[in-house]
Order: sequence, then C-alpha cells, then structure tokens
Amino acid sequence: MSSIGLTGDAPYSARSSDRYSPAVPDPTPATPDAPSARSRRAAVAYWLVAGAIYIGLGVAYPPAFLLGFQESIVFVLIVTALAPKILGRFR
Amino acid sequence: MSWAAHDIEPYLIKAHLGAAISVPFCILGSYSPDLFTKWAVYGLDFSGTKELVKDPVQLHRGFPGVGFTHTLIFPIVIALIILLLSKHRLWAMSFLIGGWAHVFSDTLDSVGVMLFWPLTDWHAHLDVWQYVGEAGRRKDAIAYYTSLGGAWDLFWAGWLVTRWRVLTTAYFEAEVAPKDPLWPWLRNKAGNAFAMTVYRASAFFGVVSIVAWMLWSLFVNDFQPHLDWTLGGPSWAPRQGPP
Repeated sequence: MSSIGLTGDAPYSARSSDRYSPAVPDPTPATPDAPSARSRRAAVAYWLVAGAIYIGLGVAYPPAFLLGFQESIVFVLIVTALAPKILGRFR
Repeated sequence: MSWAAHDIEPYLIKAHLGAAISVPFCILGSYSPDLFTKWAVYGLDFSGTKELVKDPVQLHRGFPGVGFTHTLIFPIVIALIILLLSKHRLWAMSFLIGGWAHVFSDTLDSVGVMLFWPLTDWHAHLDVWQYVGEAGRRKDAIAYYTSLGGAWDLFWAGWLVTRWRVLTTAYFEAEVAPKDPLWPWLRNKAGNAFAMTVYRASAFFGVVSIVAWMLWSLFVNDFQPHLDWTLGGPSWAPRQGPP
C-alpha cells in the first residue's frame, strides 16, 4: 500500500549481506536510515507548509475556513491525495 | 465553551488509551453537544447581527432549551443507542468518552453545564473565561482567543504536537486501522486517501484553526486586539451565567 503523508518510523531493514560481512569493506556506505529520515523530514515539512497555507486562508477569510472542521475536509483530502506523489520524490 | 480543544481531545485520548478508542466515534461524541445547536446560538452570519433566538445562552446551556446536550446523561443515552444499533462496545464507549470530554471542557466558562440534569439544573461553571456566544461568532472568537480560552486551546495543540506520531501513517496502520472495524469498511467504500482524511482532518483543523484564530484576533481584527489572560476574562465582555 502506498504511504500517505507523515510516514513515521520505518522499521530498520537489515541487508542480507549484513549477516556474513565480507572482509573487504563495502564500497558504498551502508546508510539504510538515510532515505527514510529524509522522507520523514520531507513529510513533516509538507504538512507544515499545508498547515501554513490553511492558516493563511483562515486569517484572510475566517468564515470560509475556521468555523468548523468540515470546512477543512476538502483541503485535507487534496493534501492527503497529493502526498504520495510529492513525497515520493524524497525517498 | 471551547473552540478547538474538542477537535484535538480525541487524538490525545487515543494516544493514552490506545485500542480502547475509536477516533471517529470519539470525535463524533466530542462534537455532539454542539452539532445541531451552535448555529442557532450564533445566528446566521459571522458578525452575529442576524440573531435567531432571544436568549442564546438559555437555548445553548439551559432547560428549557437544548442544554441537556451538555449533561453527563446525554452522551450515555446516545452511546446506548449506538450500542443497540451497532453492537460495537468500542464505538459506544468512544462516543461516551468524547461526549464527556466536551461536557467537562465546557465547565470552564462562566455559564457552565447542567452536569447532573435531569436531577438538578445546577450549572457547574469554573469561570476561567467568559461565555460570549450570545454576541455572535465574530465577538465570541475574539473573546475566546484573547482570553484564557485561547490558552486552553494552545495547551491542547501543544500537547498534540508532542504526540504527533498518532497522526502518522505508520501509527494509523499499526494502532488504528486494525483495531476499529470502521476503517476497513471505510477504505472499501471510499478509498485509503479518504480514510486517512477522516482520521486526520479534525486534528489538522484543530491545530491550524487555533493558530489562525489567534493571529486573526490579535493582528487582523480591530476590536479589542490584545490578550487578556485574567481569570474570567476578557474584561470587556458582559458577565453571563449563574452567579
């Protein structure tokens, strides 16, 4: 299933080569957490930007955006649906 | 009354009670006391000039009126109906907890709630901030977010920020979706994006609306645009509620 938005802690996945380490160091550094850390930061930034946009809309015209959570559903749905496409670039 | 604390409380209850809570039913319970009545309290427009009833305070929190929605018994009755119709104790208990969270939050203002109605119409009110619902949405927002009501909402938003992981996909997949039969059904009917939207919308709205209202009250609105964190404030608002 595709991830939507904030990804949270991804479990550490050990490479199969970890069990029987070769004597010669792997030329590519093992950084299994780097991509997920990057995607986590991107997800947090993505939702902060979404929140800032909604705050801007709300401050500009409160009756249309701040009177009830139902007013935010379309916005949150769009942000949620776009999240996999946008955050997919940061994996 | 509280403005956005009701949007956030269910997530923190979920974070602390875990599997024992269905977030949508807890949110529904949290909204239920005001769900069908707030529009009549405020009137038809944002400014509060198109009033619908002569005594909005009596309507909202009193009896005669719909003040019975802000009692301990009301969420119990609705939760029993949910239990009878759905046979899901999780949903009924979640509604009950959400409803009670709303009722207890509303004891903090000057009008308070009839906690033990119908045994008594005594109002539990702690007078931490002034009830200003009778003045319409605009002035109520200004009064609430410049008084200790705004501080109360900030407290809940700050607490949710510290527990932000409850809003992640990983938490939803591990702790929410498998433990509430509502989610597989909703995913089947409307898709994953919609299910995640339903899960997150209230938290998203709660946090951003608090920030937006604070900014609007202090920097855009020109009526009393300053904080008044005195007990029972803001001082410009006329006293409402029982002595």
